[in-house]
Amino acid sequence: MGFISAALLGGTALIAVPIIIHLLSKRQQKLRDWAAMSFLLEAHAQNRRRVRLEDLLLLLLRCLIVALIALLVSRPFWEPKGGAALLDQGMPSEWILLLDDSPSMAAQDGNSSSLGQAKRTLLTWLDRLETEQRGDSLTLITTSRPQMPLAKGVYIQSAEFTQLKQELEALSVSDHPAELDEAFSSLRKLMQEEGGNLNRNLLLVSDFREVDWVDGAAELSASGSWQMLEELAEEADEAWLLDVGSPVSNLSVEDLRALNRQVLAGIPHPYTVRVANWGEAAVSDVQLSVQVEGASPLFMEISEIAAGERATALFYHTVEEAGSVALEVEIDQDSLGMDNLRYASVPVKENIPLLLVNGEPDLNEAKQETFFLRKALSPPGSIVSGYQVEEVELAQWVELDFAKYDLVILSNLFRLTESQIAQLKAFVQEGGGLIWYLGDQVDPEHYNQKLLKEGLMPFALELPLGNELKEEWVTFVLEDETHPVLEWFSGTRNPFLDRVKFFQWWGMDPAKPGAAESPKVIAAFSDPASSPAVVEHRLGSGRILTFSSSADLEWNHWPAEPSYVVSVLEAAAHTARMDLRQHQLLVGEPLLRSLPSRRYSGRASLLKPQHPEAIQLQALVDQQSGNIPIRYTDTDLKGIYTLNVETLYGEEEAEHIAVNLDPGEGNLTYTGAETLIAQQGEGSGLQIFDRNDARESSEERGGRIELWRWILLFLLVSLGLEFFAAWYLGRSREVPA
Amino acid sequence: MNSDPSRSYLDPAVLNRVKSLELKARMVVEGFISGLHKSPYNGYSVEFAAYREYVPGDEVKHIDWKRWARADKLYIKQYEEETNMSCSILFDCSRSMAYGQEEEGGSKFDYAATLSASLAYLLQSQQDAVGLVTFDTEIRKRIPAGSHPNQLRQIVHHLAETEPSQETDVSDVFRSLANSMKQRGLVVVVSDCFVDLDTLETSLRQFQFKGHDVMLCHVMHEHELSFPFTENTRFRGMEQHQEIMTEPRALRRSYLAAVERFLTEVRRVCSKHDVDYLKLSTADPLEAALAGYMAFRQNRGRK
Repeated sequence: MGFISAALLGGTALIAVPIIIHLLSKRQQKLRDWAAMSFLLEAHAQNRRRVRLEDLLLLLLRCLIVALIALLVSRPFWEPKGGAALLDQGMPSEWILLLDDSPSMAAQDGNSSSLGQAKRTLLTWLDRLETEQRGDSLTLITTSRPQMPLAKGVYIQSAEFTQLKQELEALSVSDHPAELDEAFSSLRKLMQEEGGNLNRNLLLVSDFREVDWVDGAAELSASGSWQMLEELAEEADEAWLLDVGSPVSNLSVEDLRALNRQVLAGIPHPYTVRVANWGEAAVSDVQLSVQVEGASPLFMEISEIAAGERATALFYHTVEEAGSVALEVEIDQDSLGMDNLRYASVPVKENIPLLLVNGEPDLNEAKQETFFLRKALSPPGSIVSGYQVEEVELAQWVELDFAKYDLVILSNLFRLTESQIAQLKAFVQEGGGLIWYLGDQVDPEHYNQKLLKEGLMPFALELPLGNELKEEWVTFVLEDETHPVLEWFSGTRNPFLDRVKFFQWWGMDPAKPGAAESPKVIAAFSDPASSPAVVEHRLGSGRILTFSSSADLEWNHWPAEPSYVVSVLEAAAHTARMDLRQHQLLVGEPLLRSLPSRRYSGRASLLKPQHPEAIQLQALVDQQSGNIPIRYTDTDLKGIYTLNVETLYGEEEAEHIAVNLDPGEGNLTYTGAETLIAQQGEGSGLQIFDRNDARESSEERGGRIELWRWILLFLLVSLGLEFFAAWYLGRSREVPA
Repeated sequence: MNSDPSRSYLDPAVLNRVKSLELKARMVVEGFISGLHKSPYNGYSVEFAAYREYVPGDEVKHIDWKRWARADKLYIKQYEEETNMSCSILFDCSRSMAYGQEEEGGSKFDYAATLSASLAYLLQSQQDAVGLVTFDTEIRKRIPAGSHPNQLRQIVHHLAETEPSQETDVSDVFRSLANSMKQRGLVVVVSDCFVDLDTLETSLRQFQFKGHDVMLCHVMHEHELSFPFTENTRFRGMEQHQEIMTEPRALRRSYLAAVERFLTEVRRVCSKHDVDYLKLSTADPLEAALAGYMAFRQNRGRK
């Protein structure tokens, strides 16, 4: 408590005025000889106390009014336990500052961002610390790099401190999400370290967004981070929270991806952009601009996104040449600019190389087992299917380099050798795709004993079922209509599949799975046993698809139906090797590559966004796997990274990697430190550092709350009371008419 | 009635400007009479004097029915009045009666003196014997009742000469007043009654016992009845040696209630002992007092 014009407080002496007036009025009374004295004495005896009390009340009210006027002009203020109070402790302290510099801190509220406000408040406060000259020291950590403090135990008034202030002033928001748990661990270590000032105070500066601090949307329950913070607060002498957040609405591009698993050059492919509206009102006419590397920009519009919802825009694009293609989508500027951009990298292939193994060769080409498959995957004429088909007979499968294929289709094979099985297994485990078409050549015993055991078949084969004379047949029954392989035939297009007649097929018992990982029946036959027709299962990183009937006309007449070509192409696209996932990273996630040593030298360089110089990466062959592991962890900037790897022949292969912001950063739903303390932190020792107080703290009236409004209110109330009391007492003393 | 200029003399404020008490008394009585109907003024006796036309308000028993039979008009028989009524005015000269000397409306004493003189004049003009006793702590002067023409002058002269006493306690003399009245008759007590009520009752009982017809003219000052003061005032008792510093407005309600209780009590005491009671304020016209007296006379006459 203090006074801006303390001298005017002397006006309180004017309290004497009503008292003097009162005393003077007593002196100036008139003398009157009175005959009816006994009545007057009686009345006086009855009313003496009441009259005195009333007079005293009026006198006190009038004195109070004078005192309040004096108090009002002297402008008292109160210093709350905020910024100013932080400095009221006598002992020098070490201030450990944890500054949230996650992307959400760039959210604009009005003209300044959360980080801007935080910096202003902190710099003002640091100036104040400097003026106080108490021997405090400062440690500054950001949430993006908790392991690397910007300052550690820097004494205020030192040259380092001036430099630190400049660094703080220049600090910008990182692309890295707030690693609170990691930051708190670092904080704990720092607080436990010896040396420096004994008093250790914690100041956490954040925008206190729901994504960082609250677990679960339905109920406000503090996250694990909050619990860690509470534990830290107990260890610190004092723990303060500076809340620079505010509720703002925001649009954010959450996802950009190619819809198909395989993107091939020269074929139009669909891409999707997903935009989330984190605001509390619907947004309309959202403009999107898509930039695909080497093409002119594409503009789109999303007509409306409801509050709290997401909307997806679809566009088609044809990439002319194979290679790694970078995409970038941007929406209009809003409160948070950083999440308006999203990157994607799509590996575009010239075609999908696949190996077709024929289990039943025939001199008559049309009678070959793979005849129809070949026609479907590699149609004659100018039509481009996107597949590069290489066909071998089973007998020719001796030394094949599977690494160059993305997919292997085995059609009606009798048996496989041990080495073939091992090669096939390794191929699938590394991500290659495998499709089985069965038929009359299949040796069920071999399949059940060898292939099932290795996880290459989904179920054990029983007996060939159906009618050899083709007098009776069954049809497909879709078990999973959403599965990409047969999705095209779901709903109204189902008749295309219903027309297909299957005369024979291998019976499989779903109750007897082998070593296969989670086999899934996509379609069954309409026979009484509902025998599995198409089954998918996984092995390592690859997928295996099994058709229990033949790929030619021997057991069915599917190849004569239009649905055959579609199903073959979809099955191939779905099953072929896919490494799209590896091209998309979030900021902070390590970039990992495992390069086969038989092809690559191990030298690589990385071009980072905003970095003109390439970063050289060198890796050694891992003897166990025979691969060269490449690892780069400093993906702290969003954007397109370009990895150039050198082959053994000295050629360079470039690959783009898109590094994006954590989509959660776009969610600016504000919780606020006060709410968190109120809900969770009662009694935890966490206190609110009010930024308004701190901002004013370096001014002359630092951290003060002026009380004149309250005094004025009190004065008006007192005046009202005085008027009322005077009126009421006067009225009661009026001469009755 | 108010158009009659003589009526204005009944206003105490006007009267107060007239110095001569005798003149005042005459103005009052004549002003009073001029506004009255004639009937009550003349006495009723055995010796016929004249006829007078009946006017409403006359007692029916005085109508001469024979005359009515002849003239077909109602006439009242008027008689020469004879009286041996003796009326004594007991005049309180205590110190409390002096209140109001410095006020505009005059003191209670002045008002009471004018009233007493007017009564004496009225009685004299009716050929009644009238006497005066002035008292404070003791009987100061006694003018025995008489109907001699000089009697009035003596009374008026004495009233004019008398000043309010410095003495305050009139309780003792109040008690002994009745004993001093030898002749039975009317007794008009003019006082502010600022005595102990028991004393008042005792003396009134004695008057009753002695067979007097008593009328109490209770003279109160206007200020005492309304307590109109607003400024802070130090009240100094005229009979009690006490002072009160107060803001009068704060005490007004209680004071007026106390006065009202006192007046009620006095009225009750009077009623109990068959004493005619007439409360008078110094602001009241004297007409009221005289009318009260006339009513008193009539009441007593009927008994």
